[in-house]
Amino acid sequence: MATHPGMLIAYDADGNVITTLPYLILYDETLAARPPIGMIDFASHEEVGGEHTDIWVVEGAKGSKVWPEYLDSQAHDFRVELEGEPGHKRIGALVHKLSGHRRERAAIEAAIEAAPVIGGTKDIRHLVGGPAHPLRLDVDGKTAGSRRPAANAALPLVGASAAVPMTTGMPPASPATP
Amino acid sequence: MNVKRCSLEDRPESRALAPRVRSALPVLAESAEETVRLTPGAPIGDPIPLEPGGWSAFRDSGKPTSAQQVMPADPRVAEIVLGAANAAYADLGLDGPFVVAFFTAEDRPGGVILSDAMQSRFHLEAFMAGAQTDPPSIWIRLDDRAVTAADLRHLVRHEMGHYALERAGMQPGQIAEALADEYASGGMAAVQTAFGRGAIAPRHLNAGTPLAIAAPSGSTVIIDGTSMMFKIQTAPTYSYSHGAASGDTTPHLITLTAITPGATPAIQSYVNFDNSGNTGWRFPSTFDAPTAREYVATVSGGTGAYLVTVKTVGHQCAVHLNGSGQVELGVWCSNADGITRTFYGKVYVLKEAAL
Repeated sequence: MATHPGMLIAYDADGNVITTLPYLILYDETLAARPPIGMIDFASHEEVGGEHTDIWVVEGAKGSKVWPEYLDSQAHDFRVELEGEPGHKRIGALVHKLSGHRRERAAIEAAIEAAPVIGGTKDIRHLVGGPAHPLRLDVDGKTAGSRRPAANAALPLVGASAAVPMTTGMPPASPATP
Repeated sequence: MNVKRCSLEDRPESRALAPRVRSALPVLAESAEETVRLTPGAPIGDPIPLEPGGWSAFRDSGKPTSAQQVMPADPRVAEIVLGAANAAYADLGLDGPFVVAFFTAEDRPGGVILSDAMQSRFHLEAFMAGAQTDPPSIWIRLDDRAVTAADLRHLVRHEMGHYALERAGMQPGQIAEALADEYASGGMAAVQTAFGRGAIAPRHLNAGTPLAIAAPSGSTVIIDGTSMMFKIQTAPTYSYSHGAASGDTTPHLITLTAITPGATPAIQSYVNFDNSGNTGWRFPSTFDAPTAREYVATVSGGTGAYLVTVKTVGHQCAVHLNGSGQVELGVWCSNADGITRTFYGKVYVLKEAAL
């Protein structure tokens, strides 16, 4: 299973990123208080063959897939390269449109796999960023750091309530996270 | 240069406008000592008080011709009434700086739009966002012309794009850390829409503006200063290209099929010409034509020596329920520039929650 929800990317026929959806929080609309249930796990939905139209529809997009890094608007500097068999394609790399720098999924996943387990969880924030806290890229599309200081320990990598337990390898979610 | 705000309530004549025009109209100061107020048709650069005559000048100089737009008897307010069609359009034929306040037929503020002499013409367009029962939304398109050195003295007016709006009857809002990050390099204001669900008043983010963080999670962001709190439900980004001077107003739609809130959520949006995600999305965009920073030369073909801010586009983002209980974001952009432009925007869909 996916290690974290990832970010949704919608792209056009040329692979250009046209829209991103870093996260989406689901609320319980059946209750008057409408408490937050948790963050939708895009990656897990994709892994089990779920359709992204269950999550969003972007007009003019050829498709949308999950990307393991949180890049937010910076993703618009890239075009996507798909990999895999028809019907099971996923984004294999993001290629910077100016510099040609490639952000390879395999390398990211390998780095996540190699991250040490501390206290039963892996802290991969420095590798993928987090919802609302994207990685900071330089002009060539290379990782330049995290937008938010690492000292802000209160920031969760991903957030979810007990109703939607997160998948493996995640730090504990902040109780303040909606 | 400092940008100051001036409340209409400070002026006797303004009381007649309240609450419909109780927005804090901006006042631009070219220096810390000098306050410049803009009046339609007045010369640029001189301190001019905002007088009722200014609004009259607006009325006299360009009455909308579309049957779907009417001018009320009160010359101080240009009221837009939309019919069955989805769009209404009028070339107001205005030149020079002016200030216009728009309100929907349901008395909701539609925004304050500013222009200046950089644009030779001013166009007004009004759209219905989705079903007719949705609040009408309004945006503008500004035709630009070649930038000359003589224009540079005017360009500071574009700082007016950083003004603050306040919804009538609402307290100033506060924008918290996550959004402040977006503005880290700009110190700009933010503009909001929150049709039918209260409001988040935008605030200038210069030093001294209080920022409130409801929770350190990064997902709880905005407090409006009264009794409501808004949390970010999602924060998509988008890019949107138009050819030279296309004026295309085809909306770019993002439908969030996974969430089905019972009420239209609030949004907050930003747009820029370059994908400067690292340095912040600098410009408010909801009803204000966004601006772009460009370098221009004093002579044709010369070296770009002047940093100017040019309005060449109209942009708007709106959110509504699509009839199936789903949230739909609509982004309208229009390029009036001479080259192809790609807009980069970010939208925060906000959900109201109790404190």
